[in-house]
Amino acid sequence: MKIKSVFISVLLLVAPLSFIGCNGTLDPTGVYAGDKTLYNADLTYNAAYAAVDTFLKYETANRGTAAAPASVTASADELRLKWPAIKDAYFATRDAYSANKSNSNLTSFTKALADVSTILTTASGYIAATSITPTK
Amino acid sequence: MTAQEEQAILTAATGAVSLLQALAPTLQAIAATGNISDSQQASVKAINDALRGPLSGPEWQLSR
Repeated sequence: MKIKSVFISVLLLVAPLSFIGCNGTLDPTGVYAGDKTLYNADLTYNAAYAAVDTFLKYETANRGTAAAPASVTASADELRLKWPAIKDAYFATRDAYSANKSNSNLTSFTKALADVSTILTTASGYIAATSITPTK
Repeated sequence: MTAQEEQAILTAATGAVSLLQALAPTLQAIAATGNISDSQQASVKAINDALRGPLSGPEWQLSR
C-alpha cells in the first residue's frame, strides 16, 4: 500500500504542474523576468524528468520480477532511448529562445516543449499502470 | 511482495518524489495567491539548472 501511495503522490504532483503554472503571475524581479513562457516550460520539464526518473528507478529496482515484466522493461528502455535527445533539444532551444526571443526561436522552443509534454504524459501513464501491478 | 522488495521500491522512488515535493510549495502558493514570487521562481530555475547535468545512475542504462 505504501508503494501505491508513493506513486499516486507522484501523479498528483505531476499532473497539474503544466496547468497550474499557466495561471500565476510572475514577479518581474524574479529570475524569469516576467517571462511566463520560459517559466512554464521549465516547470513542465522538471515534472517530466521527475516522472521519467521515477518510472526508470521503479523498473530498475524490479527488473526480472513480477512487478516489472518484460513489457515494463521495454517501456523503460524506450524512455531511456528517447530522453537524451529530448533533453538536448529542450535546453538548446530554451537557451536560444532565452538569448533571442524571435518568432523562429519561439517556434523551435515550443516544438521541443511539446516533446517534453508528450513524454511527461507517457511516463505518468506508465507510473499509473505499474502502481497497480505490485498490489495485485 | 516482501517487505524488503517494497522498501527497495520506496528507496528507488525517493529522489524523484523529493524533487516533486520541492515543487509542491510553489504550486500551492500559485494556487493560493496567483503570484509567483522571486524565491519561487528561483526554486524552479535551480531545479531546472541541476537537470542539465549528465544522466547518471543505473536507472538510465539500457536493460540489454
